[in-house]
Amino acid sequence: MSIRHPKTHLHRTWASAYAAAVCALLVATSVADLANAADGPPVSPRGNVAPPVQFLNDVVPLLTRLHCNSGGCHGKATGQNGFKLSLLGFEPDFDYAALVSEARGRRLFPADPNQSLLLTKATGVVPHGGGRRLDTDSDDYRMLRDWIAAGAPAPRPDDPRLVRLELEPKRGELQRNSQRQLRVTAHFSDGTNRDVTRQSVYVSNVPEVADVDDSGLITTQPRVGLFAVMVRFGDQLGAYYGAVPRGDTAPTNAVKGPAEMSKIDHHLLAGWNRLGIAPSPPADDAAFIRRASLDICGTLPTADEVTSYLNDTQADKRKRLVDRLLNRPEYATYFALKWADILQNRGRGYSTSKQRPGTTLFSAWIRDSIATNKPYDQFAAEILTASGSQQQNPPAIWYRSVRTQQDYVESVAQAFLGVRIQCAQCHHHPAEFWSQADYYGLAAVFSRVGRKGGFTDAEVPTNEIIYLKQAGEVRHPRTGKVLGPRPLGGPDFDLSPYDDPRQAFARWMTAPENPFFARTMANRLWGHFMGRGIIHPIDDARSTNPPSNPELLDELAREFVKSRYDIKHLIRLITTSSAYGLSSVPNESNSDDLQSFARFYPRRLSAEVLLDGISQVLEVPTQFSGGPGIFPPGTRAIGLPDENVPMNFLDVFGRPARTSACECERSDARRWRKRWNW
Amino acid sequence: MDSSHSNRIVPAQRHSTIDGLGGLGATGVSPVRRGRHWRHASGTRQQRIKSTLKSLTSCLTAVAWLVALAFSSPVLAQPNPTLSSVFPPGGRAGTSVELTVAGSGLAKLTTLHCSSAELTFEKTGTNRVRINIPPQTPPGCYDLRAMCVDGLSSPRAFIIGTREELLEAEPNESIKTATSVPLNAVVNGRIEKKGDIDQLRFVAKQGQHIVVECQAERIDSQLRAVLEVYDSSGKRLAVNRGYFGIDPLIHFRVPADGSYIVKVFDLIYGGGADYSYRLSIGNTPRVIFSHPAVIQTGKTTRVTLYGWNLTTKIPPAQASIAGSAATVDNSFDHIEIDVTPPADEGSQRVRLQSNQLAVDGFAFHFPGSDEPIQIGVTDVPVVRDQSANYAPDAAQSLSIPCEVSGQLIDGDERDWYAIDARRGEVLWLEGFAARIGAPMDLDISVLDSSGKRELARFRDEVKNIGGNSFPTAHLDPAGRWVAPANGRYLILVRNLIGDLSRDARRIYRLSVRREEPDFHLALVDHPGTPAALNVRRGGRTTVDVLAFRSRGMTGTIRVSAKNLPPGIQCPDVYLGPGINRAPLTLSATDSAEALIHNLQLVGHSKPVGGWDQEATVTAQQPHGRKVRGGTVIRTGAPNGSARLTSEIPFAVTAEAPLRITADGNETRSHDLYGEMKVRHSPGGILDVAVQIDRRDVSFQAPVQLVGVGLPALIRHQAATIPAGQSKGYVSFHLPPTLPVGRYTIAVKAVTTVPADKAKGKPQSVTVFSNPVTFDVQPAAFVVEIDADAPKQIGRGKVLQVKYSARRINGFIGKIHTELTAPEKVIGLRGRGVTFVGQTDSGNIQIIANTDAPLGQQPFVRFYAIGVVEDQPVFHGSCFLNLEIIE
Repeated sequence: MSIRHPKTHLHRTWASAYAAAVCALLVATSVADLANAADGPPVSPRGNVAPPVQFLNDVVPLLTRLHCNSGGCHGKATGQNGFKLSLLGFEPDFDYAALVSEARGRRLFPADPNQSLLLTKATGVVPHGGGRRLDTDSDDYRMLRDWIAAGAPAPRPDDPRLVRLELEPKRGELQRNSQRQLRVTAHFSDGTNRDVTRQSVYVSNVPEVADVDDSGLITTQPRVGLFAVMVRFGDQLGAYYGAVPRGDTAPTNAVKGPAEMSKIDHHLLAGWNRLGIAPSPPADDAAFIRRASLDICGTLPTADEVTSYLNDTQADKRKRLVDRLLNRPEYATYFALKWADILQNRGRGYSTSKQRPGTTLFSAWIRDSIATNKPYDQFAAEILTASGSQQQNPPAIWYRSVRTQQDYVESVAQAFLGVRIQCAQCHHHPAEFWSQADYYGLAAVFSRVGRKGGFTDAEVPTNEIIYLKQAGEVRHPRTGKVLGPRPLGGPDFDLSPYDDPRQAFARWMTAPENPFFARTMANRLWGHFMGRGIIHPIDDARSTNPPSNPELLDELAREFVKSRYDIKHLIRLITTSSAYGLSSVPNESNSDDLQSFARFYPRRLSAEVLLDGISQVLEVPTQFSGGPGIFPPGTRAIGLPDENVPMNFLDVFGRPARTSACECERSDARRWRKRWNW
Repeated sequence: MDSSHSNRIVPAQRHSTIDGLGGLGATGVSPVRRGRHWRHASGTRQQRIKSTLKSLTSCLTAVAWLVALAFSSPVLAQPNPTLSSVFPPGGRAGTSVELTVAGSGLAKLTTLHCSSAELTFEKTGTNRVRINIPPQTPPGCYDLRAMCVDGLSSPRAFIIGTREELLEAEPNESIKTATSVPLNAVVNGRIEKKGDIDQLRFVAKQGQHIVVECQAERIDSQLRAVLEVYDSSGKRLAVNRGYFGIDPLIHFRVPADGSYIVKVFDLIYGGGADYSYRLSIGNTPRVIFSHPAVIQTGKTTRVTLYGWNLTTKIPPAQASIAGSAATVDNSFDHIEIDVTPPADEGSQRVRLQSNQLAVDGFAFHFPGSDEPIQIGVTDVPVVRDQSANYAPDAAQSLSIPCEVSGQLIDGDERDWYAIDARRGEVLWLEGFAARIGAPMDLDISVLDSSGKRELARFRDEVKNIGGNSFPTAHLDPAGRWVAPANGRYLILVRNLIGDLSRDARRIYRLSVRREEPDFHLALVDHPGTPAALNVRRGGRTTVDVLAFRSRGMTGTIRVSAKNLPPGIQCPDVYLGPGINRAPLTLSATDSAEALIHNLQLVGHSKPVGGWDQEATVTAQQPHGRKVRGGTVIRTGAPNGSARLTSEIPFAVTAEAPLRITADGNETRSHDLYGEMKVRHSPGGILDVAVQIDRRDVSFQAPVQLVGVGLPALIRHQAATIPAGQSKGYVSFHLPPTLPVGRYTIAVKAVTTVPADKAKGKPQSVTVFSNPVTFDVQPAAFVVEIDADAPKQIGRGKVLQVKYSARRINGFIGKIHTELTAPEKVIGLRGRGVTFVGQTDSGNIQIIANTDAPLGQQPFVRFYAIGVVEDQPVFHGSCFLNLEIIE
């Protein structure tokens, strides 16, 4: 089961601080611990005497469990037949008003609770579009009835609040085609706890490996792999992390790693052993130089380069090759192309001749930053805090394509923090902790981005001046409250009216302890080289989409921070890892693996690299039509300033339109039907 | 071909493409579409093809004729020579250089004209001139113009330097063909075609601090230059795409002895004849800016110069590439030096943009360097910011008036100042940052003494009084503040476009002064395109004066010319209250000599004794404000630009075909009062009599008149002088809200002159009148017509119209009213009444005879004369807007 947005398929579900916290926990937990946890004691049933029914902790979770407040029913933005609840019960005050006060109070009838519309609808006594949800003799029915009979007490400030969920077990290994029951305990602020297994909602992220039913019973499938089950009760989330190893064919710890094991290799090996998957053998040198040249420089190696590499007999030849490639200008050019996609350096508009100086300037700035190995924290901060004339300060051109509150939040979250927070624009994120306050608090960081000057005869204005406006406020769309600038997860920044909130945000984001920043880049680069992120998709970290190898991701992130955000260092770590050097030919144990990097996952060349490769092999440079100038001879597709250089080949092979910060915009599916006219 | 021909062709073509009409085009050849099939109406195939071609040719000829017509009717009858490039764009003092000029309208180039009089020229070819630069010529930016048969051209920048000058030579696209250049030379080059890349090689020694600088935008070039420096192994050491605005500069410490390559190309790989540049590579002193950025007039001041190679002590051990590559870092050498501002402004020599007019300063040249920098001057004491003024409780105390020179090196740095002010005291705060070349958007706030409560905030000057062709808006703040109570107040200065970088170039001037009105003046090209001042013998030319008013300057400003050569007139121009643009006219008599002369204009505010007290004027403002020149460099967005010029030269050229003379103070002949001098007041009508002086009796076409340079409150008005007549009127209603003061407007006349024998086409001609200056004095009454009054009168009919002459300013005299017009309308009569005592309204009877002229009578008005002791003193009038119908 996957979480779908009620309104649009474009809407995706997302990541969290929680994922980070869970990952941190996992780092401290060895594989052996996981095995032990799998056989932990069963959760004790509810031990406390039942307290009076509480709206917050009893009624709302029940509405969630019965799907009353789901996106398809009363939880959608317009409600259902005049009855609207907050999506998944994240706003209990709103729900209380809807049940008790709205519609002249006709939904509840305390004098004869059984005649309450809420109950007669739910039991199907009165026709209900949602069908029969409750039996009159069920506990749930009785609980609702008792609550109504007690006068539908409102949540009180001193009501115990749900503090956290405890899962039992938290993680574990499961045999293929086996079952495991999850137990969920809710802990409250008054120190009490109770079993809410039956009241919780469960979702698996890889149902092909393990599915979960409404009662929290996990059923593994014949496939090997890792999975996570998200558990939600009230406004709290929990996750169970499971592994389904092969078990039968590859005994645990049987796989041997390379002779010299780096930390990265250790974590990879642990991952393989955990699932009982054997890695493919190392790729041969010819494959490796081709792979590394294409991945680092977006460029095919020449015959001479290949020959001299093959003839090199020294042990550190791969390392030296990587260093050589990282020092080539093509490295900067190729990664600048990638970043120009993410940073939406878009040339499309009415007047290319007037947009091109800007896109050229920005792409050149990105390329220079990469060529000089500008620390990644500085690179990101310079973009986010960019100010001044777009004619003179290239990173300010980021604000040309990124113009609205929505653009700011989503681009920053996706590009630098690796989370998709879009859902929280309209409602509390269903699979994460992100609330609307988080979304609009982040929007408030950019609320004082002012624009002036520029000319507007193009689709988007060009040559604007980005400056710090005197005022600009963001209001919570539901409460109307003015929200101060705050980072994801809060609290608000402490700022004077003369401070630029973006600078505070940049400091928070690039701090070594930031849970998102370094990990996102580590994952992004891992995804670039391995064809798949440790969290996949790379910008969609969330507790329902955990990293396939948290220790590996943490190790990479830690190294990245330790090296002061040295991107080349991170690339060296990845490209000299044993996984990157593996053959892409699968063996019997890893053929359907897409999580543990036990073989190199083959992929198609990207549009620009493919075109340049063809030009290189045929020794016929591509002529790109420029405008207003002429691209000098030898200009390569990876070096084009923006996506608005007409070239059908590139469009057919998936050149993105640069309309979002998502790398998923670059398609490796061919667009033959649309573009097959070259 | 006459127009009826084209009328015949075009519809025929149009018909032929309309589905189902079935008819033939006028040429009888067009295919006609019926249903889904194309059929030819008649003729054999060959005939059809032939006819089609013929029809096409006719059509094209018609179109070409129309296009030619569009282009052959210029706004100015006078051709407008425009210089688009001079190459090389600079030369070394003490040498002679052969220049090639390019542009439009440069027929029969005779010589060049430079803003420095010492330069001499000799023509060496059709578009080539040798220029001799005397050795003592101070380095800097000068204006060159071409002198042609049609007059002087618009200018292009020409740089005079102290270094050796070289010419770029193609081919130099690759490292192999890179041109070798010595250090401390300037290469004059051109990105002559799209995609061109120029490469230069130089040899340098380890530890040398090399400055590579490209001037392109600053020499009016179209090039947006990118500079790159490579070492001999082909590794790029540095790149820059904009240091002075968009002009790049790279400075770096040479890492090892050897040869280095400099590449220069256009950002978007454009190129062309106008893509010239000056590229210097050297290790001699280069000054970028000074701190303080402003010094007090007449006072020798110690300033810190920021730049490179200002001291010779460069320890080789520290040799490194500044900024490691990619971007240029902002580390500077400094040197302290005493600077005395010159007694007069001298020639400009530093290129200033159109929005930098209000920055007073002078060109300062540091000995040994190649280029001067601009240092500001002010008449109030200058203080430097203290390094510890970053917080409210450490605010630096200022005494008023003063000007602060400060620096906000960090992007989020704040400077705090404290002032003591008395209740009601009016202060003007003004910041200069963007206008002195600092990459900043300055913001000034006034806060209470705690620094917590903001009392006022001053933002960008967004008013663009120069329009698109002479943009004057900028990012610097200015504003007026009145102290609400006696006490101490804080002033906060910060930068709204600071990022995370440190940049010593973030230097600013903060002026804190009382309300002492001031202004600056510039001349701008009248048509809004690049142009120069050329006046024809016996004719006139018009240019606009722009006034930048500051610190509460609202009064009238007078602009007058000094030291005019014989035969040239340039009457004074008055920019009335709040007016910031007025037409200035230069006239030449029939006998004026052909010459080039620098127009010297001075602006004065109204002296206490009034305008007519000439002696008082000179005594109070011995110098006045010099009027600067301005020129459009390029039109159009986004790269349209304009700049100031050092001087305002004009040329006297061939004879004018006609001349018009306007008079706004013509006396009026009245039945009762005889010749009356009209006193203009708000709520009255200004009649401008226009006399046409046709040089050729065959020029008899009608002349259309329209007012130009009208204050915004006065509505535009047009009139036509019928064919064959040489005098007419154009009249303007002065609205009751028009402030009292002296104003100047002009009249534009458009007519056609008969075909030139050689060219054979009638020419449209636009000429401007002399300035029309008039005083607007307080009114005694305001004439108004009943809003419901009929707007039409039939021939032979009588009309009653209600009107009033509302008395104001305590006037109780007799008011005589009548219906009149500057030129009598035959057959239209009106009998007014006379208001006495408190009366001020009545009816007028209007009679249209059967021979009254049909149509609108735009200038017919009610006229009221206020009488004091039987003298016609006050005048007021109001248009009737009457149309005579059958």
